[in-house]
Amino acid sequence: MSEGDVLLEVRDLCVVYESLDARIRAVDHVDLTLRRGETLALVGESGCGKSTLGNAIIGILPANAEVSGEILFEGVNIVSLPRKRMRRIRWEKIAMVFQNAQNSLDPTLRVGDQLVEVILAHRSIPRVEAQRRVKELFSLVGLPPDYYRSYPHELSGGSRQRVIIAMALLLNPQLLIADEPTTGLDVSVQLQILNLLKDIKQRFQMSMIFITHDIAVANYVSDRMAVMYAGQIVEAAPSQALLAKPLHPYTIALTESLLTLDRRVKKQPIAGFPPDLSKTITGCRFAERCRFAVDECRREEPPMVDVDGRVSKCFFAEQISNKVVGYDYRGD
Amino acid sequence: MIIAETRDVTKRFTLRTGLRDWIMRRRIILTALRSVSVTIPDKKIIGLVGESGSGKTTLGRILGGLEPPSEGTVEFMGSALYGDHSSPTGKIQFVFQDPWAAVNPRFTLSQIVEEPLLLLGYKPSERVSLAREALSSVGLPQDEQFLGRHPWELSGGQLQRVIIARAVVSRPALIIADEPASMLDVSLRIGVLNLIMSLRDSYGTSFLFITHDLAQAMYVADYLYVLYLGEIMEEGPTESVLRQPLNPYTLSLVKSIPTIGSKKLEAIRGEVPSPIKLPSGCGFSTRCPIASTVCRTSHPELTKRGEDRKSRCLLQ
Repeated sequence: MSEGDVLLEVRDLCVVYESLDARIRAVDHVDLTLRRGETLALVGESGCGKSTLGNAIIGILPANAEVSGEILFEGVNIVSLPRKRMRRIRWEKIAMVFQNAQNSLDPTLRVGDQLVEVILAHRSIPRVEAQRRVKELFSLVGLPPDYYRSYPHELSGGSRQRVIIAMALLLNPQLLIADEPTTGLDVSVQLQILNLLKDIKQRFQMSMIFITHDIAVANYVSDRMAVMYAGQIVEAAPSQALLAKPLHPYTIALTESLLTLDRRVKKQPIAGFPPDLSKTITGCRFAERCRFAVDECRREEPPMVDVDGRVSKCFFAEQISNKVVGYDYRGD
Repeated sequence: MIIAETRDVTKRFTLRTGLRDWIMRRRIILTALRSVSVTIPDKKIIGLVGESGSGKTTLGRILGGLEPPSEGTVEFMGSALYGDHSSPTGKIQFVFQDPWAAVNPRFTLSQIVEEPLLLLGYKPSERVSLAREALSSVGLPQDEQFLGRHPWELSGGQLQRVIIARAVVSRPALIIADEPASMLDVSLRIGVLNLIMSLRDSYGTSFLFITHDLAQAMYVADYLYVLYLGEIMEEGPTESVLRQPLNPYTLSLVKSIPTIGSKKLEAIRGEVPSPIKLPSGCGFSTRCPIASTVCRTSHPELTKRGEDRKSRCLLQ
């Protein structure tokens, strides 16, 4: 398994949600590459399309979603795959950890038995062997063995999330998609789960897509980050580089609005609101809120600009990089 | 001047139990707060941070007059809050985490903002002018068209501003804000936090700012109480508490927040114990990285440390 080996490639993906009176372009012409062993963080605010993108990759979009473009997983386009074959890939090759662990578990079944059912649905092995596998994974994710016989409501939020992570690992997937896995957990438990995810990713030699709204968390777990805004990826780069020197005005604004514990500096919110995705948008989607925007930005959609091996969807990416266009981000 | 104060407030809840417990006459007691004393001076934002089960929301409800304490006293503007005197209607207001759950969806924005005044018996003309003033103070339009809108026509950030306008419209002395910005996106969060600070400065309103997010507390709070399992573990001016924590719990919390540039962080082991079965000795002893045997047997007091700080730890 080499580092540069591509596991997942998303090409020109669009997801449109259709309702009676509107077509909402939740994901709009997104390109994405994920290498084996890599953790990619998808970062953005609510409604930016990051969860839709994750759901599209694992193939669990609702019926009113219209998908175009390609999602190549190990070279196979899984968008057009028949349902039956997709079902084999889902959970066996691509697994997901959702943000609300409570809703992913059946309240009437013991958690151990639920996990055994997952294995038996995919593999024809004796139940005893499945149970052994579940117990093995319980210890791996740091759950005491006697939790096997617990019901979901008897567990704390953190333990439930560990059960969900164990469930995702049951069939040795190659890709784990974690959608806000620590939202709603306590600060101390959040770090335990983040460390656990980092650890199992290493141990199972998986790739991971980590979806979050928190750029500091994204930076902690990921090798590379892709920032999404209004259905598009606006910037992608190695995590450290991206935060040390953001090249897209939206990323700059995001890093500026991050609250920290070390300094007490008065901050300003990002003015305005994200655009309405049910309407046709001309020009750059961030233009209305961008402090660098010129007329051109409102007329024409900026291309993805390559700067030092990174990409930014901004006419001024190069100028920002060369500090011709200044910003007052005072990061460390 | 002191707006509100609790002295040695303890709160216990008897949990509704199953049939077997009822037959056995067994009761389950949850201790949400243990001998908590907090002071809210005027024109200040008092931060209350803690994890789930720390009792922060219960303390907010007690200070807001919604829940009498089991033991201890609560004073508001110099008189007992849970005495037989008239309740301080309109002088304490609330802002909660979820703006959508805090309004009647069938009300127009003007009905929402004017409602406290209606209950206080203001005349219609006064209501209209005070509501407009409140909306302007939170940075929202005041025209007829906007006032006639319904909650679902707004974004979460705008609606939270409407709710803050409703909270300030009766000119309260104290606003209990329980995670007021936690559900909002980062770009809007700053706006709500800035608004809270500007209301403190312009109206002199005091806030009890309840949150699990230390960074938000750092940003807005003048003074900070750190709660764990119903007890104050540490208190002091916010900046000094969070930059130089004295208590091992505060220190562990501060160290478990990923920031830009952090590589490998050590998580606090275990989880918050159940408030039904409190640990003997220090509440944090089951998870504390420096706990010794004495911590598991003796219960530490909240003691004064230095000029303006207090910490609850036996090893200091």
